[in-house]
Amino acid sequence: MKLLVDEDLASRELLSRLETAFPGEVIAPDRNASDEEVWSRAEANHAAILTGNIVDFLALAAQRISHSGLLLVYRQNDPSRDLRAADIVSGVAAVVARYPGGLDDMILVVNDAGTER
Amino acid sequence: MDTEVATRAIADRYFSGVATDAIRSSLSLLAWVIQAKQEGKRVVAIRRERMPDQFEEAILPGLEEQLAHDATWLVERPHPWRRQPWIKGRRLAAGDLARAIEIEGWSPERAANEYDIPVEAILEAQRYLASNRELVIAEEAENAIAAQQAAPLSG
Repeated sequence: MKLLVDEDLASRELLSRLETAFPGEVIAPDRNASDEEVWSRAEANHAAILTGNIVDFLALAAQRISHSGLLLVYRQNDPSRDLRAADIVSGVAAVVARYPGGLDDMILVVNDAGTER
Repeated sequence: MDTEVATRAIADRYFSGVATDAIRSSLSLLAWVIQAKQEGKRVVAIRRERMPDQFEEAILPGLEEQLAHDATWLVERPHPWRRQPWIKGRRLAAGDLARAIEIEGWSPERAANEYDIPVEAILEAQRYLASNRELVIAEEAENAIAAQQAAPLSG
């Protein structure tokens, strides 16, 4: 499963951990790319998008008939529940393990470690 | 510069020309300093990278907002619902970036390396968060609500 990381989440730490977990499957973001450009690049690579920019990417998803998957990370203003890079990678790994056939047209919340929304 | 001229200059610069706001803020800060000293604390200025683990910080709303407004690395961009400034040349909202750093517990230098942006930009984002936390948290909540309501969109 290819995974494109949106710029809002793309620390070196997260990208490095994801690359370790999913060698050769992680696509780093282009700098300052618009949401539409991110979406198009993901579709061109048949990659799911990992983003914290939830409202805007859900709006894009609603305009499309199909997509390659959307993985959402949100914050809860709670240090015990807000996800660090390592937690995000664990959540993504749980999602991938749960859906080995791919994430086409799925919108999943990483915070819930794979609970389908 | 005499006191009246200095007060007027500060009021014009940081308090939209309202001298009473400048004076009220100054007295508030003075009261905080006095209380801290009465409690046996030191009131010092220190570079952000040398900050101790525990400290108290004076936040002056008018001043903080103006300093944020004067930022070099933060820029305004039109957005349907977000009101945070952005890091210049990047799709990183200032408050979101500062929150990510806060969650990870990174130093400004570490964060600058993590996101490949100048330390000054990190510091400006952190100052923005310090004076606009409610807005940043509210925008986080918008995203959280959207995520939790996304069920009808699933495939």
